[in-house]
Amino acid sequence: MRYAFSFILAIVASPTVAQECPDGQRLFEHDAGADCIPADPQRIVSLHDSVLTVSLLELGVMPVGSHGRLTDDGVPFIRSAKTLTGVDFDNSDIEFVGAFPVDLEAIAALSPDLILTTQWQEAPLDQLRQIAPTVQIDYSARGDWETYATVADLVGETDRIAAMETRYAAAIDQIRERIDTENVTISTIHAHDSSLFAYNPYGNIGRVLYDAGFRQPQAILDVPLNDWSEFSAETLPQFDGDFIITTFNGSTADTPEDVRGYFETLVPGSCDLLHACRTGQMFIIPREEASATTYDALLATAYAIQSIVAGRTFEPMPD
Amino acid sequence: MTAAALPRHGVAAWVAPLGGLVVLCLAFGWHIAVGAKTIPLGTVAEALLAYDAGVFDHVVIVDLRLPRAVLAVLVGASLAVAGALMQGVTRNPLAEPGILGLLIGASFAVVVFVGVFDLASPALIPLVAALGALAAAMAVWGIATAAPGGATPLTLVLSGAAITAFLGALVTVATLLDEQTFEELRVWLTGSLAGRRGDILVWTLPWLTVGLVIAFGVARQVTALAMGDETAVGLGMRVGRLKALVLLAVVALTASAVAIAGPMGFVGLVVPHAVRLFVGQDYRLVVPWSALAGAIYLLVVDIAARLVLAPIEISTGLVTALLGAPIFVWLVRARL
Repeated sequence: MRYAFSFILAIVASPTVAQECPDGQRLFEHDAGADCIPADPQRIVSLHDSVLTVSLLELGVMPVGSHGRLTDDGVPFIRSAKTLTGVDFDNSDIEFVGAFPVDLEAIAALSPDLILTTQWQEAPLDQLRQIAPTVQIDYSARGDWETYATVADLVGETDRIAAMETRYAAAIDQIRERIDTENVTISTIHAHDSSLFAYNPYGNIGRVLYDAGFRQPQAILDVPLNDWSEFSAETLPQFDGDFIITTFNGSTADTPEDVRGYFETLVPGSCDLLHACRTGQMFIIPREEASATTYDALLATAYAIQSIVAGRTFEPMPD
Repeated sequence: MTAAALPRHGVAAWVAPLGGLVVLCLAFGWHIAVGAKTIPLGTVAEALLAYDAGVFDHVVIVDLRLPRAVLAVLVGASLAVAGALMQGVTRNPLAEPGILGLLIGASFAVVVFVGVFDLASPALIPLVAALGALAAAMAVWGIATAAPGGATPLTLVLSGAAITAFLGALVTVATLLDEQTFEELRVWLTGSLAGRRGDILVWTLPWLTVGLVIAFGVARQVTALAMGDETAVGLGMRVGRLKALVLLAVVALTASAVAIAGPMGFVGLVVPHAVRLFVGQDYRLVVPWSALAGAIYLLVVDIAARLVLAPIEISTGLVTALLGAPIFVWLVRARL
């Protein structure tokens, strides 16, 4: 009887059932519960630059504050934002609220009406909720594009996604028309420190490879979906393909030559040992476009892959 | 500690070292024969005898595993000998480069040198690491000496813990302030042999050689010193000069190990204690056997680091810490 009473009490007290939001707000279910949020938020603080802030900017929403990174000189920047949207801390009214973890006082000083965060950020949710309604988005569970759609929903811009998806679908159709994708293997692999890193999928490159129907090395497909794994340098040949498309991090002054150097440091003579590199079929493109979750970046990546592979007589990797 | 000391005369006197060298060769062979990629033993032999840079398996054996095995031997031997000397001179069973702050001192100096001043000359890194280790050693000794009761095993360990925590915090602050730059030192700071190339030996081998030559040279006197300063003085030894030589050896060995692989804790603790179980307290035996056993120990630990989660590798320093920490706790309970 005591348990039955507790159960009824729990049902009655449950915020998801009982919670009703004031006028001008709506109940939003997210990855850390359900919160009443403004129906039309005006002062958003984003706590993840490349995952949330850049998406907001592409959707035409200017947050009042954002998480960012620091250059070697200590200057804050929004990763990928300047390249993809033309907006950064130095040319907008967006206030820098810290790196990792963010500065709660800086957030509170902006009097936000909505805080967007992710599972990656360490700022405690209960303290954030004391400042403003807070929505947490677990992008590793949702994947990049469901995360983007959630952000669009939060700011009432869902309609724009349909138009952008139509443009992207047209780009994928072009690739399929011009390339026999099912008979081309493209690999995406990264060398860093003493290991190889593989993502499944790797940002925009991965999405285009899947959507256009390219083959990928089994070692990449074996990585759990929406996850990444670190591999010993001894496994390098498993990540070879007709083509290798990898990235350099322009925000840290990396160059494509640096990336070739990372592979060479990892495995001496690696270029001669990888079919794609040996035959000049390894390409290194900017990470901003390849990994940022925006439709501009996705389209740029689709066109880059099309221009790399289409109309080329390439040397297939021997079985 | 009681010990069944190895015989010093007769056939057994050379059979034991020969057996040790055979075990080292077997561990070395095992190290280069196994890894994330399965390579037949015939191909391993072929890679060593008829290397072809166009065959990936040969590259794995000769360019990845062989240098790593050589570095494991050198780092293991260096840290084990450094630990043995420190335990003998300080008469402290818990002394070793990690616990007394030398590893973090050397690491901190390298982090500042590479990360803050952006100077990455491989020729200077052993010198910088040596200066860092020396400064940390002096600081630990100074703090322990100033404590009530002087530099006892307990105050030395506590001073080492304080210096380790302080410099560790500074390393963390530096990495937080400049994540991008320090990302490159992330793996090195965990103590790793992965990705290290043989060419680093050009700059570290002189330091290693100096450290090992001194260690072997002073081993007999360390045996007397381990019985107490008065005993050593009574035997006509110049204790101050001897301690300075040992400090030089320990700093050189620690610095070269850190320059190669980053901070790798507890090797200098575990190995000498294991060696004493077999050879007793005579440092003429403890030092060479520690070198041999340290090399074998780190080879085996590195095999585990590469195979336990294959094809993912974990840092060798994490495995030495996992193995060393329980032994440290046991030593605290049994010997302090």
